Parts: sequence; structure tokens; C-alpha cells
Amino acid sequence: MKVMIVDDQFVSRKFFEMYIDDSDRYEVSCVVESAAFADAYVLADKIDLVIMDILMNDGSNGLDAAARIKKNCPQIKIIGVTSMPEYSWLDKARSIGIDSFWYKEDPELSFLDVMDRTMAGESVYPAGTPQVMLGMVGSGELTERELEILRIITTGASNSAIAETLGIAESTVKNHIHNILEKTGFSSRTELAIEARTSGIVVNF
Amino acid sequence: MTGYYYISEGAQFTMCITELVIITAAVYILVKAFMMDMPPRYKAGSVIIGMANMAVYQGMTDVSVYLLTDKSVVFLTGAARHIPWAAAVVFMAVSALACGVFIYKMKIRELNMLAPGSIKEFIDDMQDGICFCDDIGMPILVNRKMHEISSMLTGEKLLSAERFTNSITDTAIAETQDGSVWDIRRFSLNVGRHHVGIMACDITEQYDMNRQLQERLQKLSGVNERLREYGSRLDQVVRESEILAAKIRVHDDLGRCLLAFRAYLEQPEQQRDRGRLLTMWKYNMAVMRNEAEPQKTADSWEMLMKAAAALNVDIAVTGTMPEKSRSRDILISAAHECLTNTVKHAGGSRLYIDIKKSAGCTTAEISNDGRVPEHEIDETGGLKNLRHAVEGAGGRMTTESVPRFLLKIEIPYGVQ
Repeated sequence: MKVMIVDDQFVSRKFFEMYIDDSDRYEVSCVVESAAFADAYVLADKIDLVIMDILMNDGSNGLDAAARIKKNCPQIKIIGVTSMPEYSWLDKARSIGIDSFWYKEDPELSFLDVMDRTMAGESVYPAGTPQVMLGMVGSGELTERELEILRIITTGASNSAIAETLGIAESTVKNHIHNILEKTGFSSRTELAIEARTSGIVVNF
Repeated sequence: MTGYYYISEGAQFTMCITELVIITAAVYILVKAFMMDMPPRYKAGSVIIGMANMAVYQGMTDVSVYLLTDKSVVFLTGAARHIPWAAAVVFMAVSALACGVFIYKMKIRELNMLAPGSIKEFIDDMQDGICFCDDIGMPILVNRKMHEISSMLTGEKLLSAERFTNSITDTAIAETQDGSVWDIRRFSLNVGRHHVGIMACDITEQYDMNRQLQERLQKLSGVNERLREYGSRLDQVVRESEILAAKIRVHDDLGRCLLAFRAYLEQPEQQRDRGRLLTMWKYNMAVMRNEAEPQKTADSWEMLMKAAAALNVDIAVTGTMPEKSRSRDILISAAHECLTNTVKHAGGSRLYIDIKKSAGCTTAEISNDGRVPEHEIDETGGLKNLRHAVEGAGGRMTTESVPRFLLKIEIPYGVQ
């Protein structure tokens, strides 16, 4: 089966190539360094499986690329891969129709196993996003709304802009931010935003 | 019992004076009752007390005249001289008490009534300024504070509403020399005829709080701006730290390779697994070669050309691609969309991109050498997103399917 690897990191690309070369069931059809035009590459060869990194250095992202591939070639299987514990990617990947998802740091699941099960028609998804500490609290202890607000805070938006984006009152935004600061123990929203971004809990494309 | 006629002259004199006082009080009560519009009982009571005491007083004076002159009986002398003096005293006491009660009640009522002066007194005590003027602007009622405000703002007391309001608009915020801030408003009042009013409210505290709030918002906006800038750099920093972590792992793997090689050499020849060792070394050598040649982020146009080459599609460009800008990004998105459609739908092998710079905008026409579309182009998915991007940048997009597929976009200069 022909596999296309889409990853901007050389080390990761080599890692996946090694796995595929070690298996007699798969062969590397092409290796692409950016998700920007990955949907064009699938048209060049009869690709069966795409290994798609989510976060790219050039501003493109694997989720958008996967959506375009699924629209044009729904029969192609896609495995989304990442090392970032971003909370929303699992749900987004499912909604796009990405067949399986694998965290690069996952010690339990072998990647070759994921590939085999995916090609067998199974959808292999981790039970949840890896938990990381954000201040005094684990990322799993923040509500979905709090994580949404946290994402927008990292863009430098004001409370009124956050309220407008989410369609809620500004006072509600202030309450949520206050709760997040209390849970995490950070002293300011600036500190909160920086830590949220560096931990990888929220990533803005 | 001794009649009035028989008491001493001194006692008679005292009683007469007392009666005069009571009569005066009754007259005072009557006049005040009319002035204050008191209930009828006050008026009737004062009349009755006055008349009764006048009759008693008349009797007393008649007796005095009788005693002082030729003892001829005059007017009420006959009746008065036999009335016991104690009865007269009791009568006077009751009258005095009644007068006292009336006067006390009237005083209480007067204290609770508004007099013309009390309104001026009240508004003079106000902390805000207020004035009422007639329809030509002449002041009718101006309080002390309004005069002070007028003096501070115009240099003189408020003598004309027109002159005062000409120096300010209908609704104005004015700051006086003492640092107070006033919200000055003009209003109309119709009471019989048209009047003009001016009200000046002290908003110093609110103005200060608002100014502090604006300063904090500005500061916060500055913080947000710095955070946005930091965020855009932080993505790069985080990615680079991921790369560094990965490279550290690879270097650790190199150490393991060296150990594995040593173990390989120490093993008896028949037990050596060369294949596995070679795989490890190949991987590490490839990684180290990559580290020696720093990776450069490819330009998106170069990446598109590479993708086209992989699809065996030749992209022929006439004109010049715009420099790094949103126009360039939109053009590349358009070329990307047309590239996939050329391969998927038209079966073509050549994409033509004609870029022109015209007055105020960059125009690009994109076509291919593939099959002509069988029906009207339905803008879904990629074309729909492209239109959204073009129109969001203030540009225009048109698609044609006859006589051949043609995508035309116009993007104004200076789009950010």
C-alpha cells in the first residue's frame, strides 16, 4: 500500500519512513514537507494512506489539508499525527473524517499497529488529549468554554473581542478568565496566555 | 363675690391692659389666618375671642369712666360693675389660652409651609448649579452655585442666559479653575409661558473615573498588542524548541549507535546482526547530514511549482508575481485550486497564469489546456473559499466555462 508522508520535520519524516521501510505491507510513495499543497500530491499517485502532521512551520496545517483530501479523495485513509496536546484537534479531526489519530509521544500504541488497524477499516483514536499542567491545574480540569477563551486570549484579543467572537456577554468572559486564573494560580492574563501557548494546550493556526 | 366695680384701680388697670393684649392677639390671629389661608375655625374663633374681649374691655372702660366722672351710668356700666372680677379673670385666661393655642398651631403650620424665600434658600444650598430664565434669556431665579460656575467660566455672574450658553453648546462638559468638571445642559420649561433652564451637574468624580478607565483600556490595548506580537513569535520559538528536543533525541541515538557498534565488534562473528546495525547508522547519518545543511523554509510559490511538477503539470506564468503580500497569497491559493481542478476534472497538463498590473489592482487570469467544462462551474469548497478570500480583500472574482475554463481575479493594491 502506498503511503504519503506529510511532515515539516526531517526527523519525523525519517522516523515514519523507517517504520514503513521495515514493513513489507507499505511503501513510501512520496514525502512532502508542507501540508499547503498535500491535496495536489495525492492526485499524482494512487495513494492509499496519508500520514499527516498537524502543525506545520510554514503556517499551513494538517487539518485543513486533510479536509481537502477527504473532499477530493474520500477513499484515501488519513492518520493525523502530532506531539502537541492541543485540546480541540481530536474533535476537529473526527469531524473532518480523519480516520485515525496518533500522538508522537504515545508510549502505548505502536505506529505500525495504528497503520494496520486503520487500513483494516478501524478508526484508531486515543482516549483523550494528553494532559499537561497549566500552572497548578491539569489541562483536563479546564472546561471546554474556558479552553475556548484561553485560545482567543493567546491571540491578544480584548474581553469585548472575545465576547463578540463567542457570542457571550463581556461580563461572562471576565468571570471565565477570573476562574481560569484562580484554577491555574497565574497572576495575570499575560502570564496565562504565554503559559497556555508554550504548553501547547491551545494552538492558533 | 366682689364685682369689678369694687376692686382697686391698680387691679382694674392690669385687667384692662390684659384685655388689650388679648384683643391684639385675636386681631393678629385673624389677619394671619387670612394670610395663611387657615381653616375657617381659626378665623371664626379669632373673631369670637376678639368680639367677646372687646365687649369685656368696653365694660371695664365704662366702669372706669363712671368712677372718674360724675358717676353717670354709661353703656355697659350697669352690667359690668356687678360681674365678679374673678369671672372676668377666668374669661380672660380662657381667651388667652385659646389665642395661645391658635398662635402655636399657626406657627407650626408656618414652619411647614413654603414661602417664596424658602425656595431660594433651598436652591442656594444645592451643590449643583441651576437657573431659570424667561423666554428672552433674562434670569428669573439663579442659585449661588450657578453664579459661581458662571464666574469661573465666563468671568462674571450669570446675568444673561444667552451670553452664558453662547459660550457653551447645549450639552457640554466644562472644567472650572478649581478642577471641578460640570455637565451643563440647557432645557425648556413651559409653565404658563416658555422658560429656559440651565442645569450644571458636578461630574468631577465620574469624569476622573472615566479618564482612569480610558487610560487603563489604552494600557490594556498596548498589552494585548504586545501579546499578539509575542504570540506570533512564540509559535516560532515553540516549534524551534520542538526541533531542538527532537535533535537531542537523535544525538542520544547516535550515542546508542556507538555503543551498539562496540557491542557488535565484541560479539563472536557468527552472532553479529549487521543488518540491524546498518539500519541504525543509516538513520543517524541521514539526520546528521540534515543538521549540517540547515533547512530553509521553502517559499509557497516554490512549493506549488514542486507540487505541479509531481503532477506532471507545467505552470506557465506571464507577468510578475506580486511580492510577499496578501495579494501573492491569494494568487497562489487561486493557482493551487486551479492546479487540482486541472488534474482532477480537466485532465490537463498545462496551467496558464497571466498576471497584469492595472490601475489600482493586480489582475490574474488562470486557464488550462484540459477539457472544456461540460456545465456551469459550481463554486463549492475550494472555489467558494477562494471567492471569500478575494472579496474579503476588496477584490473581485469571476469564473467562465465557455469557450474554456477561465478564472479571473482582481485584487486592489495595498491589501493587508
